[in-house]
Amino acid sequence: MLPLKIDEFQLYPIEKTLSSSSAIPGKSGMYAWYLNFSKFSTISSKDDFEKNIIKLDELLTKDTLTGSVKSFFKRFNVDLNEERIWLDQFTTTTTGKVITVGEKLNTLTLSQCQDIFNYLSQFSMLVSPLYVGIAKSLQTRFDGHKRAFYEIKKMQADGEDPDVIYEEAEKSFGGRAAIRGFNWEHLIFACAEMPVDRHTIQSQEFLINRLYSPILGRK
Amino acid sequence: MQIAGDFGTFFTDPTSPVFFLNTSFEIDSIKYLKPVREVLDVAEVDFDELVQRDLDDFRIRQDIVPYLVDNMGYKFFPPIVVALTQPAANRQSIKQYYPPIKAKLIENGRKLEVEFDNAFSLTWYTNGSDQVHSLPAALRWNPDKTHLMAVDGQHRLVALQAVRGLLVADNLKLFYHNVLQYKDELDNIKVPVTILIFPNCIQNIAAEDLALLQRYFVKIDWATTSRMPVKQVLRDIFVDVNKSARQPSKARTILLNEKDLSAIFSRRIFSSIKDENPTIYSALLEYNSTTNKDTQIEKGRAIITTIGIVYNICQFLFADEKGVGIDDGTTLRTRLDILNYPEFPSSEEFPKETMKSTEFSLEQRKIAQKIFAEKWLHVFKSFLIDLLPFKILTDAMKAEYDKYQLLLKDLTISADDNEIYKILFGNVEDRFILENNAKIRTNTQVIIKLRKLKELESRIRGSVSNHEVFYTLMFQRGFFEAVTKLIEDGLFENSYYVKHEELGYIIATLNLYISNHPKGSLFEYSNPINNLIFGGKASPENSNLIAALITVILVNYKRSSLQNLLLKNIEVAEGVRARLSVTNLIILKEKMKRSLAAEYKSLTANKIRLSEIQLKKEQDDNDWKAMQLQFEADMEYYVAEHLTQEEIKLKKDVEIED
Repeated sequence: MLPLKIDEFQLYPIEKTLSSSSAIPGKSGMYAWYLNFSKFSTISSKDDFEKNIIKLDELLTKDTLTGSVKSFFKRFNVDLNEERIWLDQFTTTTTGKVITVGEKLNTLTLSQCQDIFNYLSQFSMLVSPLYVGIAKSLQTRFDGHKRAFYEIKKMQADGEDPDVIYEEAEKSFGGRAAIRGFNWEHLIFACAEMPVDRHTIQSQEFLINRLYSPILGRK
Repeated sequence: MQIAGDFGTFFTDPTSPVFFLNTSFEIDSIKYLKPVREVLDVAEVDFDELVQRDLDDFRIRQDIVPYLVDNMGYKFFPPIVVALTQPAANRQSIKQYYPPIKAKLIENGRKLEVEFDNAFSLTWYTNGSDQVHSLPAALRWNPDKTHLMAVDGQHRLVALQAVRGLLVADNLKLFYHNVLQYKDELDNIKVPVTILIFPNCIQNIAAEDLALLQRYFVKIDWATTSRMPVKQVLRDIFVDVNKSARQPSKARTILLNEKDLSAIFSRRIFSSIKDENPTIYSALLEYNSTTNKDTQIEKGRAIITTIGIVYNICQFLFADEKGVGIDDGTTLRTRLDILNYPEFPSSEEFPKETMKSTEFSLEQRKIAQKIFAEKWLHVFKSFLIDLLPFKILTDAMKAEYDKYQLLLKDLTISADDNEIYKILFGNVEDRFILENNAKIRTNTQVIIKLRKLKELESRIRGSVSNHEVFYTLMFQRGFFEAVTKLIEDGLFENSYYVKHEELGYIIATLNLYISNHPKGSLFEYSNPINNLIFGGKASPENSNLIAALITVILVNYKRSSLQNLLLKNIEVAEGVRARLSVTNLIILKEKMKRSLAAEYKSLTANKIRLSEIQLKKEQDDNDWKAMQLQFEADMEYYVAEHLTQEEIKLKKDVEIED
């Protein structure tokens, strides 16, 4: 078995890249973008907690419906599921018991709610990445994503046609993050240097995204 | 004094009502209208206290007076807008709030009168159904306690006062003496004036007065719970009325802008430097540039920085859009750690997640200022006070001030010298007047005074003649670029700012380098390496090269002898230190390489070679390609050879060990 290299991942939150990306390696490697939960961690009430969750839901939800047709001959029985992280209630698959969010929230104190974000803040990397990729130069890729992100922000500020903005945003991770409403400081760039074959890099990156299907991957 | 007029109300924003009284003044009664400099001692006023600091006297004399008096009498002018203000006892600020008020119905309820202590009062006729008539309303004021201070049109006002001989100060009388000849042309005219009064700037109001006023002014919230300081309303009005008028100078805009945190922080920085040097600050800080060269320090002036330079640095720190073309507030929120600040104000209209330096609520501004004062203000203060070149210049200025005080005490100072010192340490507008009076060739005495002032400043500046580069935007911004990069590289305890003692190590290490190089440091234009990096001049776009140079010094100089206080006191992983050294050295070398290539091309013999290549190319002679290749090979050799030599010298100078 190849050794796990996760401990070689270097993390670059906004505080390390604010004025330049020069600290990020210029060499090839794998990278991932994570959500920086610490930017959501100031909670002074349970209402704040809920607002934060809703905000995260807006940022992370796939905005898609999945459905299945149960019987074709008798009658249409369509089961639709919305892929959102924050649903008011949750049904356990084994017992069918319904647990509501309010119920769970009532069992927690404010400081226990705060702890949830504190845990997540310290382990942002344990939550699914928003995007994964391979790049010839990690620094150049970071710069490219940042440029794409601000290009969309600029188009929005200039009041350009939403369809044109959407089309442009779909072209890269940076654009997709911008159009979802992320702030640049919500994101953490994580990377590890690795040798890559520059000729097959695009195909490899495409397939990795298909295998993993990250939230802000190309659809 | 009393005047009647047409009364009305407008709002600068929904919570900020303004009363106005439209009226007109007899021409010679305009002496009761005051430009800011007559109300406040502008030399002493805090930078954050001002509404309108300076006047462009040259523009008044050159443009406005001739417009007024071209044999056609008084021409159309919109009203002069004045605000009812009260200076504090020391004339250093405007009183925050109007005095407590008493409201009463008089003359059997025919009139409503509101008295603001014994400073001023307003009277309206009532209509018998809880309403006041707009015309006529009357204002009475005590000129000893209340001033009608110009908010808009103070240039017009001074022009009229100058023509009518109503100016008080001797230097201004001299400056404007030629315009007195037009006095008669303005006989028997009236000047339109709008007087502004702020009903939500009241110190105190009793419940019964509040009840009475709420009956008559239902839309006005007189209660002190929603009150605002007078100067804040004034600033908003000034910015609003000037939006469509002649563009104020950049320096003036920075001094006035309430809607840009970079400007607000800049004023805070200047005020704190002023607090450190209360007697000499006006000689050390440039904040009144009437041109748009607000980021340049005039040659020979003993100035440490300008409001434009400080503003530029604040923009880099808190509103940077370099490389991305838009400021979405990321730098501000990150450098103040707004998203992690407990209970940072946030609302639907002003969410903290989208706050930026030009979009914020009043509560957000207040907390942002607090964080700035705690985390960043000390960086500016230490930099401008403790870094050796600034300290030397400040000490030289202090010594000159002490000398002046001694001369005053001994009564041995001449009247001229006294005036020169007063201009140096006093009101910056006096300097402007002196400079303009000196443009008239016949004013020999004034010309001599100005020359003496410049000699004095030049002598003080001479104390730092080998440190020219420090007094540029390039250096001062470069320093902050270096500091922020070190923060980003994780050298310090906190991820978004540098603590006071940590910054102290940076300053101490730089000071060590500077004091060990009394001549020929890498910051001196005369140093050949400096010349290769900066081309013998300061360009703001080269601030990144200053940042690289500072970083190379900080992570190498006196490292092995343990005198480098930064490395001695801060644990820096060797890998990080080495990376910082190498990457910044590469930045410097790349620039030196480009300069050496340019130098090679500019040698006479090589200019001839290049012309010959061009000629061959134009004649379609194929030899040009071989010649071009040979030229490039020779140039590469020249660059490599010289670069190696200069790199050795640079490494030796900053003590880089291979």
